Order: sequence, then structure tokens, then C-alpha cells
Amino acid sequence: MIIGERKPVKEILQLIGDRKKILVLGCGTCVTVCLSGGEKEAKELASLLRIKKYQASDYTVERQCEPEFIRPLDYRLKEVEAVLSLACGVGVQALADRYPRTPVFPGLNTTFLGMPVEQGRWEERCGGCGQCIVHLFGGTCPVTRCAKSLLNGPCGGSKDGKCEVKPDRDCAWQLIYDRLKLQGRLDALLEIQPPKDWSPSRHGGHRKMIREDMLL
Amino acid sequence: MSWLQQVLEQGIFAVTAEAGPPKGPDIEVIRKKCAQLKGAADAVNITDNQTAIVRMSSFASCLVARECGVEPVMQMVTRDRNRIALQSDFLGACALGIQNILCLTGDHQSLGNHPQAKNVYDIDSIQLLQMFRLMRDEKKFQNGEEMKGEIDVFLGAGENPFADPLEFRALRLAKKFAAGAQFIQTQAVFDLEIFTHWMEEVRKLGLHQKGSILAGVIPVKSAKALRYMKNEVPGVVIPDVLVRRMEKAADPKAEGVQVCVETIEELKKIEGVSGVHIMAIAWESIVPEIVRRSGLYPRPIKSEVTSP
Amino acid sequence: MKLYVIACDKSGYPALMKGIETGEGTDSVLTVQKIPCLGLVKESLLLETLEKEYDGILLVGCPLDSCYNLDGSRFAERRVHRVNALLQEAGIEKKVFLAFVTAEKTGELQRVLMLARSAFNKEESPT
Ligand code: SF4
Ligand code: SF4
Repeated sequence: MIIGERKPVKEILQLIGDRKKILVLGCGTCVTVCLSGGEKEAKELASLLRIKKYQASDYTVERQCEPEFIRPLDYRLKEVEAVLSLACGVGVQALADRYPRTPVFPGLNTTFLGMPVEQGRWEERCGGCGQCIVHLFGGTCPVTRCAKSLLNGPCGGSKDGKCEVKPDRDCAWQLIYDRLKLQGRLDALLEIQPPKDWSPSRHGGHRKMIREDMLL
Repeated sequence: MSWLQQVLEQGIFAVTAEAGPPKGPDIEVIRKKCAQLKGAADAVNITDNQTAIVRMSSFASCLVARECGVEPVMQMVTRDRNRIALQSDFLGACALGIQNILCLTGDHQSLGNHPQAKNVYDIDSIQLLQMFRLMRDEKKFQNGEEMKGEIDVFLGAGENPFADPLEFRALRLAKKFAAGAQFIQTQAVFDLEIFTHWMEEVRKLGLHQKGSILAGVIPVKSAKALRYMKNEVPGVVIPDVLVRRMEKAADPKAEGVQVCVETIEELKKIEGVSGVHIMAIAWESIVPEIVRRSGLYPRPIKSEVTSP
Repeated sequence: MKLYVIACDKSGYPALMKGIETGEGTDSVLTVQKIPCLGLVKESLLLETLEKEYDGILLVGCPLDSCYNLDGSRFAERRVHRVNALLQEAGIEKKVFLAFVTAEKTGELQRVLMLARSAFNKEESPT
């Protein structure tokens, strides 16, 4: 899922400026599950804004990133000066595209593609590199989970299973080593992985996907 | 052929040292360090923004070192440059007669003085080795395109026998040799036990015959510096006995040198160790004394000046 | 100072009634809501209540380790913490207080009421 974290309220207030009629718009998908921008958080923020004398209302749609889910917002948007979107950056842009006359502000910082690893803790798992090679590493992605995206083994700073860069995080290469050892496939690590082709990734420019059979 | 390569190929126990470029444009800093190291080391590593702190470029500093009559080992990290820039700088360095290149991944920028920077890590150190070997031996760029011209370069890499997973470390060395490393400089050895064990593994795999292994050492000035390294520098393992020894020492500086000399004595005895790499960070002036007391002086004389 | 009190019916409410009988510091209590357990109080309820004229909210319930519903007070504590953080971030001078009492021992209630009063008597935002 897409993980996002709420911006500090202070920053949000700065974004809004002197606009008074605000719609706080939650999203019912990823950011609901990671407890950052769902109905609950939208209600809380709207409440806070009302205490601060804004005319804030809140509403939450199933998915802000899909035009068909935001279309029904037309009449609500007519009544406000700005929208504070609690969706990920995709949702914010979908709204901004649909309502070009209304300022849309991001209430979250979209941070990563990840998963909950325990109650209250989420971690990054995939960097969307466009050419998945995670099978080569026993199902642990070094592109994303190694701070240096090393494809040929751990750096010289891995210690006690933790990453030298972020000591509260696992070293991806320790995980890879342990998993492949468990599977009796350590020889896979002896193979030299060639430089990755980054052209299908964000480095190749922004991306698109087409399904000919689905085009109208 | 680089002088360092000649020394190693003649089977002489090699000595390399290290000099970090200044945090500013003052060439004299490098000249001074080179003057201190000249004659004591066969080649001197010039670091590439080590610990991710901005310094004068390794490339430029290498040229200064060469002017001073010191053979440079140009370090190149993959943190800041993609394959385009790395190949381009490699060609430039080769053209200007830099004949030793050490291929590294580099410390992560979040540990340095510009943690806000975007990193590159387009390729890793092993891929860097492979790329340069391809350029030198097959005259091809990384993309397979043909390239013209001769390249004479001695390729090296780092290795840390002390980092986790320990069992993988010798295999990782095998990968570096397979990728094109001709010499290896290791992380500083303080724990001889782990190092000896690693060398056993290395010999078992026959890796000591695939290239030259130079063991790293660092002379420390105080117990405090040692403790700092133990606790703060990733990838360094320091036994407690050593910390206690430094704490008890009446003259810690002298003791630090003594420890370093003793370590080198031990390293010389280990089969498969072809030399030492003395990293006297901000203490370059001590290197000649260490080399002398370790019985590694005088260094072989270069009969001819290496030129492009 | 105008306080809205939410009290659990196991311990908070009886303690509050006792306090009101003796009149100890309870004059700022404007409204009292009785609920089965503090664990039911959601952040949104707290914030919506603060949209009204109240300066603060006081939650009164069982001590952490003797919550009738096991984790109710623990949940309440976390949520109070979170709401106070939000209020502070937004620069709003309103606050939620939490008092753990038993039906017999009402001393803690007095203490928190005093604390609330001094928080609002100060000019700067309560911390
Ligand atoms: S290899 Fe690429 S697509 Fe696969 S998990 Fe890693 S970043 Fe994601
Ligand atoms: S410690 Fe592990 S995860 Fe961290 S940079 Fe090194 S290899 Fe990658």
C-alpha cells in the first residue's frame, strides 16, 4: 500500500493561508489503512480547523486517485475556497486535475510503498523500479531495502543484522543471506549481478501503462 | 604498468598509505601530506569525499600527488556519479596517467555533511570494477559500445572482513576478484583473530592467488579515538583488550604506534597477505616511523618515472 | 474555566458525584457525560466537544491496571495524548485531562481539577 504521513498542523495552516471555507477530504484506501488520511483523520482535522474558526467540513471518498470516485464531489467543491486532501500525492493530483479552479493542498507527505510490519510500524518494501528482480534475492528487495541499492552483496557496514545507515532498520543483505541460506541457494549470491537497467524506472522519465484491449 | 602493480608482482610486501584531500582549495595540504608519505609508501590512496564529506576531488588531488612524486591510487565511489560520469572520469584519469583505481561504493550521504543530497548508486562497487575491466580489456563501454585507445590501469577494491554476515565475506571477495579486482585493501585490522579466520577462508577458496590482499591498519592516538571508532564507525571491530591497553598506556600515542607495528608484524606472517595499507588519518607524519619499525623500510626504488 | 467531564460508570462517575457532594473544586464542571468505559471515547468525540464552548475536557476513569474493561484506560490515555498533541500543534489553548480514580479514592480527581484550573489561569498555552 501507499504510505503517507500527515504534515504538521502548523504547515497545513500555512498552506491554507487566509482561506476560510475548507473541505478536508479523506481517502478510503491506502491512507486509511495506514491511519493517516482516512475518514477518522479527516474528521479530526476538520474539527481542529473549526476550533480555529475555519468553516471546515470533511468528507471521505473511497479512492481519491480514480476520477469516478471524485466526480460526485462536484457540488461540494463549489462551496469551498480550498481542499485539503488527505490522500497520497496521486489523489491530490487527481483532484487538482478535476477542479482546476480550486486550490488543492496536500495534507500528507506521501512517503513510500510499504506494509505494516507490526501494529503501528510501517516499512518500505518496493521502489517501483519497473523491472522486478526481487526473486534473485530470496524475496527481499535490495533496490529498496538496502540504503545503497547494492545488488552484489552487503556493504562493509552491516552489523548484527542492522543497516549502517539506519541502525533501527534491518540490513537487507543480512535478510537476503539468511533467506537464501535457508533455501540452500547461497550459490545464487556468487553470480555477479550486472548493472541494473534503470530505464523502466522513474529514472527513465515518468511512466505510463497501456492496455490496448481496454482502450475505448 | 603502475608502480604498485610492479611491486606486488615482484612479490615485495607492499605498503600503501592514505591521504584525504582538503576541505577547501588549498593544494599545499596535499603537497604536505605527500611530502610526509613519499618514500614510505609505494602508492598513496587519495580518497573520494570519504565519509560523504565534501572535499577537493580525488581526481584533481591525484594529479597534485603525482606532481609531488607520489604514486596515487584514485578512489572512486558510486555514491555521487552514475555510470556515465564514472566512465568519463575514468577515461580522464587514465589519459592523465593515473594508473591505480580503487573501486568503492562509498559511505551513504546521510552520514556525511550534506545529508540532504540525493544519492546516485546507479551501480555498486563490483559493477564498477567490472565496467572498468571491460573498458580496459575489451575496449568496450558499459553499454557494449566499442571504445578506442589503450588503458593501463591497476584495479582495486576494498573489503571488510569484519562486517556481517561474516560467513559471506570471503565469498564477497571472490566476487570482487571475479569482477576484475587485482588488489584489495581491507578495512583496518584490530581483531587479528577474525582477520586470520577470514584469511583461512580466503586461502581455502584459493583467492589469495587471484590477486593481492593488502591488510588495512590504523594507528590511533588515544583510547578515546579507539573507542570512538569502536562505537561510531560502521564496520570496524575492536577488541576490548585493545581498548584497555590504550587506556593504561602512559604515552598513548607511542602505544598506538606500537600496536600498529605489532599488528603489521602479525599480518606479515599470514600467508596470502601481500602488503599493508596504512590509514593514518590526519596523522600522515607517523607513517614513515611505522614503516621503519615494521621492517618495511627502505621501500623499493622506482627506476623510472611513470608517465602517461 | 468550563469543563466537560466524561466519566466511566464503574469508578469515575461515582467519584465525581462524591466530589460534587462535597463541592471540592467541581464548580468548573459544566456538563457530565456518563459512559460505560473510557475506552469508548474516540479522538473525534473529544475534538468535536472542544468545538463547543468548553475550555477543556476531563476524562475520569479506572486506574490503568484495574480498568474494568482491561484496556479501556490505556486506550484513553493514548488518545488523550494524541489529541493534546494535535491541539498543541495547531496552537489551540484547549486541553484534555485524564484522572484515574476509584469510587472511594477521590483525591486524584481533586488534584487533576486543580491542575486544569492552573493550566487555564496561566496566560500562555497549557503544556
Ligand atoms: S525489484 Fe523493483 S519492482 Fe521489485 S520489489 Fe524491488 S523496487 Fe519493487
Ligand atoms: S548495511 Fe546492509 S542495508 Fe545498509 S547499506 Fe549496507 S548492505 Fe545496504
